[in-house]
Amino acid sequence: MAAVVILSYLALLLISRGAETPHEGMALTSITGLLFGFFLLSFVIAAIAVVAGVGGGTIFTPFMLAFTPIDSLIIRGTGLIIAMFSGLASTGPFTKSGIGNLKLSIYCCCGYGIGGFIGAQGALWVANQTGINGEGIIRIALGGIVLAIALYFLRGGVKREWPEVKKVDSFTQWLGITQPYYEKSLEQVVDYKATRAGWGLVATCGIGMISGFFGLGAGWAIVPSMNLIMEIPLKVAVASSGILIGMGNCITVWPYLHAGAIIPLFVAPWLAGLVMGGIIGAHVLIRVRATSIRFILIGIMVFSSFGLVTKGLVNLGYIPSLPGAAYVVALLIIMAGVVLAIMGKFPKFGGGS
Amino acid sequence: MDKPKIPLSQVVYGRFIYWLCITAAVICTIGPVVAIASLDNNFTNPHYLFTAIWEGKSPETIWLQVGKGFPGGNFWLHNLNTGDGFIQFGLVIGCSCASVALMATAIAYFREKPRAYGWALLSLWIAVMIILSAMGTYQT
Repeated sequence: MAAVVILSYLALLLISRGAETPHEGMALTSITGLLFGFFLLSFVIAAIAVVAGVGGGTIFTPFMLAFTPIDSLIIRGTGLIIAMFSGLASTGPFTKSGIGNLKLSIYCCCGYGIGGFIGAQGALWVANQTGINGEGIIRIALGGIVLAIALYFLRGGVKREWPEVKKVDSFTQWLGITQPYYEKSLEQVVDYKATRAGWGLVATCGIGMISGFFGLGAGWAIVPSMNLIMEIPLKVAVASSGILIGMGNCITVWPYLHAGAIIPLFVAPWLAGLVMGGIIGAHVLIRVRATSIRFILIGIMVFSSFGLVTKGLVNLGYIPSLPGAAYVVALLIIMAGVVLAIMGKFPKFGGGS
Repeated sequence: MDKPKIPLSQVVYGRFIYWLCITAAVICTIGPVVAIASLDNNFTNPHYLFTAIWEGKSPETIWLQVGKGFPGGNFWLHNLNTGDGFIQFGLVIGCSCASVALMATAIAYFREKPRAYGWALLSLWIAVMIILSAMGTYQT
């Protein structure tokens, strides 16, 4: 795969050198530069996204919506494909290692797939029917929900990484959804339990709807819902959410593809980077402790919330468009907080496992 | 304590997804080379495509301005020799790989002991949902 990538970009470089540029057209060297830039960016996005247990779209979509003038339907469609491929790329290592639980992913996909398909169709309908105000209100509401989950997750502490299930309901028992796995960081077999599978299905259906509508990916909400509602250990939830996103977005992405919102030459360079970054990210996840993942996840959720709320307020005309520097400053502050928390220098957040 | 055995169905699903995903990624990596090497053999002209995207134009306008209008989601079926048709083929493999993997998983569930008929049916149900979505059956 790496060899194909290197050869392809060398070939692009050779072809584009000295090629003629038509009037008002973009030079082939610039196009090659753009394609390579997309590849590098997608590699980084996928590696971070997989370790944090979110779809790559959760990082891609707010960034592109905040910093580029590209049509939102194209960004959302591409965001879903990115989320899907980062999930698919991590599926192999997660299923092989046993951390990912295929039964859990298949079960949740029954709700996520239907919700996601309805959400994607809704996005296309809204794009044709309603104005910018409706989109602004929805973004602010979504930003609030994401922030609330992040804060709850932050306060959940030690118990959320390894939840203690006191009572398994009969439906979850009947499903037989759990399976033991070998936890490398603890060097022992973890035989966990799950509960409230019915509510988990309802939650993933709603999450699918939001994901399909916004093209955000859904790991940012699936991981907490599996962890907080179904009481699945955080690391298993992260891995299973990757499998679920890859599977579920195979349903959700098609309405965008049939509407022409996914433009092949624009999407292509993102995929190679995503697959390579996703595989590397999945191998890193198998070795790292759940505490680090929790803090990265919280950081990403807070930043996503910031992006959604500010964009919503801009759409409604309450504030002017924020300069790119404001987003960079917010990101740096959040990243600093995450790094401090991982290092244990942030006493309030440093619960540890 | 011995490491627990990974269920066959899970191994089968992971392997199918891994290789189909790699295939899709390889096609999407080679695709831009094909598109740039034969500029006239594309639905959209790469020289103008990125400018139009960067100007914030809608998908319909982009397909119309830099091509001859949107040819439909499955245009690759009759245009595999074009640059963007080839890339679309790679995208389609990626976007439908879960349906193929789930069908193989369903067979594995049927063969596993104890047999897991319920999980096999759920796998087939999701595979059917992906196929219906891919066919544009319920497209608005």
